[in-house]
Amino acid sequence: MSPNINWGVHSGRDKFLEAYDCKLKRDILFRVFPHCLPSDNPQQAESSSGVGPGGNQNCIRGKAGGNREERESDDGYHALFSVSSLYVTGVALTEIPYDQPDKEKRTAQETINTITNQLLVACRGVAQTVLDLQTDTGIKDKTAQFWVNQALERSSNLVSSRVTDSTTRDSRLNGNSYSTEQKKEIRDSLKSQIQQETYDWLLTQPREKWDKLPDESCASHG
Amino acid sequence: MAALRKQLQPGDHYNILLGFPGFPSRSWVTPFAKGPIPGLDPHQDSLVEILHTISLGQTRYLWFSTASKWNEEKDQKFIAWLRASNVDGLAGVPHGVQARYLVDFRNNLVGKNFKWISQLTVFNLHQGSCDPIVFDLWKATGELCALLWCTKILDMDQYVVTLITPITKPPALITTPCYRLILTSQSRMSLTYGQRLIPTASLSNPNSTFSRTFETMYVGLVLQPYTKWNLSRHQTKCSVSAASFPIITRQAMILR
Repeated sequence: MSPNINWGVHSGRDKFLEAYDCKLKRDILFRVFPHCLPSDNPQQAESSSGVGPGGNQNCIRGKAGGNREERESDDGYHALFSVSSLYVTGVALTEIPYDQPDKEKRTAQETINTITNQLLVACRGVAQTVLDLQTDTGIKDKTAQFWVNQALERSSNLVSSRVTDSTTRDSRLNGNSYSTEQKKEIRDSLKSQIQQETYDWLLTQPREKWDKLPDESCASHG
Repeated sequence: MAALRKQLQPGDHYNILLGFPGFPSRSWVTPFAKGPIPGLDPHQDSLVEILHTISLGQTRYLWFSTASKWNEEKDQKFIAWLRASNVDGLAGVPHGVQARYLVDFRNNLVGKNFKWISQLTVFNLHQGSCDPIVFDLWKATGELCALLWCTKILDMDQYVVTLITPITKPPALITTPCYRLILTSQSRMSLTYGQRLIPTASLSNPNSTFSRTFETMYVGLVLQPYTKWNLSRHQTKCSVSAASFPIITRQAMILR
């Protein structure tokens, strides 16, 4: 391939280029997707769903770091300057199996799981647990944060009306007909129910986007 | 695959750039659909750029910690030394280096000023200008900057090894997030971006707005390979073993 190739013409979703793969010894097709991500460090943190340069784990590529004491200790500081061999050697990248990602490295799928977890926790209505998760993982997504706030508000209202407020809550929680342990179990199950309800609501938001998604009966892939 | 209506959606519920993770499995479902770029991982594909990483990071902090401690006499001494520097063969440094400007407006400098500073300051610090340990740091920074603004890389693997040395050896560098960025980019640098990482355009024409824009706008390429065999299998909605993909990607890079 010539370095002077015009990528604007030859790149895109429906443009397949032909080549002969010397290693596989057969013809291959490939597509080219140009991308233009930001280079500015705070913006990079935002586009990688990171907490930003001030965070405990502020590296967008990996999970290095820790709290202030850890980072300032001899070992912790030294660890900031060493990276996994997978980053360093040029060949290694081609040899990482996709199903065995490096523990030290961040991956998009893992970040999505972390964000999903944060949203799930937010649906239970306790803000502090979400904050703790964000501090522990170094992942705080701007878009998700909008929904975290909404879910927190919604679920904490539900919790107060169904669990806390003695005038409106489940009648089993009032009076002495149940023991303290039983009441605790009831409270937990009510909270789980609220969590599920809020999460189901969250999935349908924003409504007009959700309406456009194919219905379950139509989505038959895999 | 679970129904889309029962999933959180990229762009609606979280960062759209994370949209197509498990390259290439999800992208096989709708390979022609509009949406996030398949195979793009903002964690690993975010670019490293000299202006924000070195000039406005390491060099700026080091310059501040050095120059903010000077008195009038040291200012004058530094200006005199700096102005007398021989700039032949240096990258984009004007004659006389605008030394008085650099010192007068030491807290309000821009990227090109830091480029001059990182090339020349180490030769113009004399006894009393800074602590010995700060001087060591200047030497390490100068060494690193010389490598980073290298105009032509003949052997990328060798270059990568040379580049790691000043980063990891003591005295350590100040802004650790920046250095992790560089350190963790090594494999990407040699595989994906190649010489694109190094801004050569700005060297010939330091004052041009275009060249500075160019520095911030590296275009990375994600090559998504398909074998013809795999493509036909996709049409029958079969999942494809991911194991052969890295090899093809590597191969495509070599061809480029």
